[in-house]
Amino acid sequence: MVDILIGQYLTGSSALHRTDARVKIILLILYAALLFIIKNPLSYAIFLIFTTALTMMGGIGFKAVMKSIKPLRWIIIFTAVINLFFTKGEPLLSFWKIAITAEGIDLAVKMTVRLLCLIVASSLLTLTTPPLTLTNAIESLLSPLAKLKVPVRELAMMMSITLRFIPVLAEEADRIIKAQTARGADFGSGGIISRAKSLVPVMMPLFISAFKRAEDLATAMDARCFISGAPRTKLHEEKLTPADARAGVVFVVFAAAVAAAELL
Amino acid sequence: MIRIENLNYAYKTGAKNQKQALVNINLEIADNSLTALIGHTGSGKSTLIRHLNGLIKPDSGKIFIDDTEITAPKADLRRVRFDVGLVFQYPEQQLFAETVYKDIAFGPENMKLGADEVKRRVYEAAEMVGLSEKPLEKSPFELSGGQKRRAAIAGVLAMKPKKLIMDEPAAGLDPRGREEIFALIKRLHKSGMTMLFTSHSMEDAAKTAERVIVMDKGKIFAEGSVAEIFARGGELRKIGLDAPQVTIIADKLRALGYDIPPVYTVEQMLLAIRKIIGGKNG
Repeated sequence: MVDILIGQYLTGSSALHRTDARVKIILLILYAALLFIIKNPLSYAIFLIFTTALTMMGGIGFKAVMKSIKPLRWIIIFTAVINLFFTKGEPLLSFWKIAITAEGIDLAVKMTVRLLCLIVASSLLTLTTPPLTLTNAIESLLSPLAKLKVPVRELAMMMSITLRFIPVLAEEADRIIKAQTARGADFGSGGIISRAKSLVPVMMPLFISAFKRAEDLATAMDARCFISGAPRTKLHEEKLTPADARAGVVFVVFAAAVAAAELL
Repeated sequence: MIRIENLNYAYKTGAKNQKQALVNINLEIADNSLTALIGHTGSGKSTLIRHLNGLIKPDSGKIFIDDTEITAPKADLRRVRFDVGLVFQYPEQQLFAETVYKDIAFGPENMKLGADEVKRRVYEAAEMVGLSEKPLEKSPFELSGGQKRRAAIAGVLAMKPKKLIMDEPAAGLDPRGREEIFALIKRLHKSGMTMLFTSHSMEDAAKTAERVIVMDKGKIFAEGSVAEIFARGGELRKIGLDAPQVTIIADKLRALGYDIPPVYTVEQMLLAIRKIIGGKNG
């Protein structure tokens, strides 16, 4: 089976899951902004504790967190190393032309914590929000841009349709790969050229079927009088709930704690 | 011979979730037999046949093809796939080459056969499925629905498998296309091939097959000759299947006092009715 997870959504019913996606996006932006203006080590500690607490509250396991950090591990390590060795200041240790300074250690640790917090917090958003809800939230947040003639609705529609068809096409690809394997096709051996060539028997039928599906979908939308750009209502209207108010309060308390730490 | 021993398989639907697709399957399919595998959508038919040439590995259990265990860790699956041809459902959706000829040649070329041998096999396979030379140079997308299906089947036949498995070979075809496909299945069987096809049409199974295997919820529900299976109409009805319509009509006529033997195809019914009418007239 082809294993394609769209987004990384993990089902759940935690407070994080129940919070409106729009609220989560806005709070995430504020969180990131705050993260880059803090200076005091105590603030970093508060960030670490807050982010860990959120992760635990969302019922997100250690494994899922590691999975979202893993693809970015080289960036984290690279940033830490650069800061560690190339920050000017009082050298603590030095050999040959390389020196480790107190300022370097300080900056390397801070940058690592920043990146980790940022990655984990943004994964919390995608881990606790289904992709379609996320698309709807982005549409809702960007809707003021529609006044500037930005086709927000169309873009959101395109995004939802894309998300909707990823699993369908993945399943189809899986079936075609199996069918061609049954005819002795050999994938993933030989040089780059022969490997690329071996994909033709999979890509051709996949493209043809994708175009067919697109055409069918367009016809079906026409048949139901879809008009591009017309205002539409939703089956599930997103309304702010007490859970969102609580999320807001929690964030304000957190921001206040950070501010206090900075001013101390 | 194909032998399946204690086969189990579950689909992984999530990190922890899984759906048991096949439960303790034991089967033996003899050489030169013509078997229909019937059951509802989701009964496990397609999953079972994908095991038979190693496309899916079972969670437990063994599969033997002519005494070679294909579930063994080091089994030569490529060889198995040339011996056991598998035609997927709607195989025309997998056509990809610029010409029908090149598409049919894909299998034999993967077998690393010489150019002459490939050519011979393509023409032979095309002839078997009733495609003349003219459509061979066309793009597969210019063919009619029935022709596309037959071209795709020819692509598997060109590998000259000893056993041919077809998943819903007649699905989505018009009545004439269906006739042609089942005629082809019978022809291939007569030529000595071991044939297995899945279907959810009792009529197709009764008309074409010698043996019938019934699957329900991932288990073998029943197995036997056409007569043995469709004599159990009541049990089949319980799992949402039924005997062919002519069989049911014949049973009702018999209950009304007519002297009609159990029949499974329209032709048999015709003979039985002629006999009664002829008997009265004579």
